[in-house]
Amino acid sequence: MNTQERKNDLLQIIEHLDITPTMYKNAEEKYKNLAAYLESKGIEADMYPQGSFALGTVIRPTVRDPNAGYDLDFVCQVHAMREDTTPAELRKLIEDALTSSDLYGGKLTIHDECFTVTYANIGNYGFSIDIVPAVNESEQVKACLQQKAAYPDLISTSIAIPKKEPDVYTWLTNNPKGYLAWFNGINNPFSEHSWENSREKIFRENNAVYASVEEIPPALNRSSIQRVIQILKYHRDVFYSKYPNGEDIKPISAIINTIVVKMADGIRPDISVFDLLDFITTELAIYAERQKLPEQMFSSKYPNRNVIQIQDNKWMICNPANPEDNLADKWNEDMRIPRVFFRWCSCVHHDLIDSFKESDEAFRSIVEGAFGQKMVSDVWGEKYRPIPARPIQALHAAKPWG
Amino acid sequence: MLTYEDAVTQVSELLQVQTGLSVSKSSEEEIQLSGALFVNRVYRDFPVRKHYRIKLVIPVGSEELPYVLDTENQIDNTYPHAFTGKKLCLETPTSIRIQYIDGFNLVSWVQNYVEVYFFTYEYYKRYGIYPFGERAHGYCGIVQTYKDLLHIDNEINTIHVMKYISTVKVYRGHHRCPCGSNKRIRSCHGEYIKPFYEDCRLRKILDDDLLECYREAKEGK
Repeated sequence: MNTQERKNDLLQIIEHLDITPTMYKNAEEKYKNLAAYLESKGIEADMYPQGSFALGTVIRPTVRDPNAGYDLDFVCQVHAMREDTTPAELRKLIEDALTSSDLYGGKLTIHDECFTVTYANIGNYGFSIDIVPAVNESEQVKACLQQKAAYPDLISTSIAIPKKEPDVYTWLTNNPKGYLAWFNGINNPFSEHSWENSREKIFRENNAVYASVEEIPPALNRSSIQRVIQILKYHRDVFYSKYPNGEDIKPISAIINTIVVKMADGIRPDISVFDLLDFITTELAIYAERQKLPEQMFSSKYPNRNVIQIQDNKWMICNPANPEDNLADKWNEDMRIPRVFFRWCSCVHHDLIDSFKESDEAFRSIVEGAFGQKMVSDVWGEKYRPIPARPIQALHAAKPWG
Repeated sequence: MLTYEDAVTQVSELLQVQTGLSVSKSSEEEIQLSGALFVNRVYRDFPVRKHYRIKLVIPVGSEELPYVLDTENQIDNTYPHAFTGKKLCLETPTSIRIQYIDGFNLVSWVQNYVEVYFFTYEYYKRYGIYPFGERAHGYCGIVQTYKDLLHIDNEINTIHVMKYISTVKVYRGHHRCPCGSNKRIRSCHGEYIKPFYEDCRLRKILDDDLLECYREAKEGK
């Protein structure tokens, strides 16, 4: 068996789910047009990407719908301070501008906390843009955050966004620009390492889109950190789809991003994707012991493990750009969430690291379990000799007894 | 009940599809098969393709159902449905007996019970949940089997219906449904109760199970 070939084949699946250069170009054009439209309506604002589109970790969410488009998130930050307006007024300002548009009105879905503009398919897939309205966070709040922050320099870009409470809109502090700055600070050396190869490959595969290799935007580069995040996000989607309440208990992407980047901090930037994945899932197996070991015992057995913490008996994963944001808040409401999370981490290691030792047939079978049979067949065809499996009909299936 | 000739025929059919198994003992009392069972099943896009070393015992000329022994400890002891004695906990005998009331089929039994058992085990190990549900231990699991068969919403009402079937010897569609709904049987669970009156073999299985439930309840199991 050729381990390197298997690694490349796994990456091919992830590349298949990544945003294409054509789609990237299109999405960029569309969000800039949206920003120009808002400006034409007298709204002075910055429109910028947040989440996976900003971080370069987009994957198509195909698990529930094989033809699903990309969900891209943007912030529309109006040039105003938190004190200048109310969350409801800010929301109404953007809503009125979008609904009054002939172009966007028909494509618009209004949610409690964002507006979604859905675009028609380009090629095989469509995409939607989620717009979150925002204003600059008050200086007073920023000063408080800076006192508590592990990275005070990141706080200056904090924003306030409308959050729906049962009867009223309130402000919620967020800081996507600060998060991106933190992410880039650690990811950039990894990115630089992969850039030359990456852009040659993108150019080879997309020479109808770009006239020269220099035209390729660095945002399309994928470092080992970004690839590991994409792998984990897709594996998570497939894994949690087996649970009746999978959507509620699965780890949010911000948890995956933060864990991967924090763990990669200080590692040699030329590490390969699968060596990094191996390192991270091995670390997570250590963190899994936090579930059973008393805190003091854990800390003395594993010093300096503070990516996932327990403080005052509460799980904690700090958002590096917002000290008041515990990304693991939900873990403290339902103890099944951390339990399934660590179970999932161990399955990632089994499926995407340990499987390299298996026979071709077993490897294929494991990867089908990890990424879904259809996705694997679409990308790999008949490679690694798949054997069709006989389906089990749930309705009359045997239930173990005794 | 399988005769020796039936058993031999069915074993040879099974060996054509499960080529890793072979006959390790054959007598007028039982046939034993040993070797590797290949499980190649999928549910909700999760495939299990794996060989398990087993011993499969097929009693001959007896009411006892075939059973499977895990000869190489492949089932983790911590699995809540590992063994009863040394036999794998495939399903309640009630389910299996009713499924094969018109004649036992070894190939179908292996596919529907043995392969599904191993699949369920792998799924549980990975996700911590049972893909098709589970049965409670002991007689509660048997009552649950009737709950499914009779489409009743809880175990207590299921026992009421089982008692009714066992004690009222003729089907009376105009009686109040023993499920407690206050409707007549024919407009309530009649569709599921009636077969127990039309087929005395089904009724016998239910009577035997009810007796076993009483016995276990009395012993406080």
